[in-house]
Amino acid sequence: MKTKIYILVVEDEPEVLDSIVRDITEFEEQFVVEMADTAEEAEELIDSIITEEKGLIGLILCDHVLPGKNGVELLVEMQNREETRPTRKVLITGQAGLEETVKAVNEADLKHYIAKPWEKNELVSITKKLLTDFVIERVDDPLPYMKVLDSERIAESLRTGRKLTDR
Amino acid sequence: MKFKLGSRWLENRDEVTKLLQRVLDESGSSDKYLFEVGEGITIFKEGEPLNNIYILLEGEVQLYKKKPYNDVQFPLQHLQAGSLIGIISFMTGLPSLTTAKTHEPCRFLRIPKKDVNHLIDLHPELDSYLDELIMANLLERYRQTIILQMKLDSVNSKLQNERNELKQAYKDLQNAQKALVHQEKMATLGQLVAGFAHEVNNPTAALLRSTDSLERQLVQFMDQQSEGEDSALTDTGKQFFKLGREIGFPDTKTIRERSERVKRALPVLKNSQIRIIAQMPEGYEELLQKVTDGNQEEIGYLLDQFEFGKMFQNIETAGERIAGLVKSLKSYSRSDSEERYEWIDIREGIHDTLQLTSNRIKYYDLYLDLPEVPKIRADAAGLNQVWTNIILNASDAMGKKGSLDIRCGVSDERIWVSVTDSGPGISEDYLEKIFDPKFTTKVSGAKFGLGLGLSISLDIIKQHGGEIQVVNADEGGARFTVILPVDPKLTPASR
Repeated sequence: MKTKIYILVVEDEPEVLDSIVRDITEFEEQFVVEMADTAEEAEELIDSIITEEKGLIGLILCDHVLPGKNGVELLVEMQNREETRPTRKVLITGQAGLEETVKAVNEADLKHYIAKPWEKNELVSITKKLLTDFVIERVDDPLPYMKVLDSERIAESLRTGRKLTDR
Repeated sequence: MKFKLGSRWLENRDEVTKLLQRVLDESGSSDKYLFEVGEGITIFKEGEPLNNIYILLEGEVQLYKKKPYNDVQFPLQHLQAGSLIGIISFMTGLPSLTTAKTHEPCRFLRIPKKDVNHLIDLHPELDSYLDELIMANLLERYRQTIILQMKLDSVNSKLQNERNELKQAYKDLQNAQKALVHQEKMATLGQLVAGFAHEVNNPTAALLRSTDSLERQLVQFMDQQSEGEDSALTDTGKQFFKLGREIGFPDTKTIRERSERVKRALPVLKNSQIRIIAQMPEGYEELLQKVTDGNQEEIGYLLDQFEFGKMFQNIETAGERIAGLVKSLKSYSRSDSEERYEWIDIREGIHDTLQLTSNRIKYYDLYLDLPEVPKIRADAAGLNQVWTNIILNASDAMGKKGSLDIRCGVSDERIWVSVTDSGPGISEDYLEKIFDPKFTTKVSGAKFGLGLGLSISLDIIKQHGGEIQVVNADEGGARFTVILPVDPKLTPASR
């Protein structure tokens, strides 16, 4: 069985969480979407995905203002952990200040910042782009993902036989 | 050296100069040196060689010195009758250090330098007279200098005092200006809020009304569509719609655990479908299985119905939240009321404030003990500023986690409100100072931090004839207590 790739969504307001997950449901054909309403829960989830499921975390969409640990802290921690360093990291927030955002960019290799309220098209196209990057970089056989991701770029990578970055 | 003549000169100049004049007269030469001028005449100029020595017999002479960098003549010494003028130049032979001008019509003896030796030859006693006189004149000038220095010193310290006073006045002004700017800001904000609330109300109302109509029409539409079809399925569909419409959101952990069980019951479903079923109460996976007999299409239909219901619920909740916030904003800023002082229930303002600061306090444990208290005559918007300041300060002190304990009550016919936080408390050194304008412990960049919050709060409370106290609670954390009279008119405002 091929390695499962997860999309993690962290958001404390259930209605918002529900909407984000609904917007990216088209990716669920090939990816597993997991939800957490706190950073702490997200950490437990990451642990169990890595150790028990032996899965990869391809993308995290994360709110900043959360009870307990905030989103940027979570992203920085993920960046410092080997298994989650390649995970593409995105903030979806209305409230991260400049300082925190700078920290996320510098210390967590933040790939994108989505301001609330977001547009579905924006969310989907960013998700698609970042997951495509991840798959090309990390997956030996990206063929099955062509259907839901950027098929042209995946085909191109297959043709040239080169990965996005040399591992 | 004897200094008899010099001492006499210091006591009585006239007498000595007359003596000198007499000595000159004896040789019949006094007249030839006599020299009279009117007022305001320059006798000699600074920087010019001086060929005479002057003995002032009558009138007054002012010495001037040019200030460096500009040519303003700065008055130095005022010389009275009996004085010798041009002494230094006479003794050193250098150009004059000062300019001399008559202050009133004057009479001098003007003795050319070259004549002095000749005169001394004629009158040997003149030699020591002149020495003593020069000495006495210099002594006199020295005394003047000392007096001047002392004057200068006292003027300096006066200036220093004035400067300190000015500094203080400037500081006070700055504080007053900051307070004014803050008040002006709050007033502007109040107007903006009123306008904003009004503007947001309309689209929110439109949103809620349209959603309501949309929902009714959708239900009708679905009823029409389903006529003649499998009525058992459409009935279940309505049931699922209703469920989605009313269900509360389980937390993500519960959803995840439920997902495992749903997956075991309905292994053919997609993850996204399993997650939706996991949001339903226990047992719905069996119901689904029973009604649809595992038909994927029918399961999809029912789940869509549930999602429709949930989306309507989301829209309604969101709309109501906006409407609630707008209502709180309006009542917080009192944009509807004309009178500043009204009979109000203070608890409403506290609730509005909690609602509007919710993004800062939403993760705190909140203990409210707010029993009914008599209404008081108060400036509601002002008091709301006080609650906001106290609550936001508590939030700044506590950070993300903590608890807020807010109570009110009546004692001695006055209303009290206490706000206790679970932060680190206030250092004893600061307890006395925290109501001072500009006192702040927040580093710049803090969210509110003008350092004016509590001093403005104190002003507002004083205007109500009330008081505000702060102590460190026994359990740790700071406790602010505001005490307000029922009617400020009946209590002389304490200042």
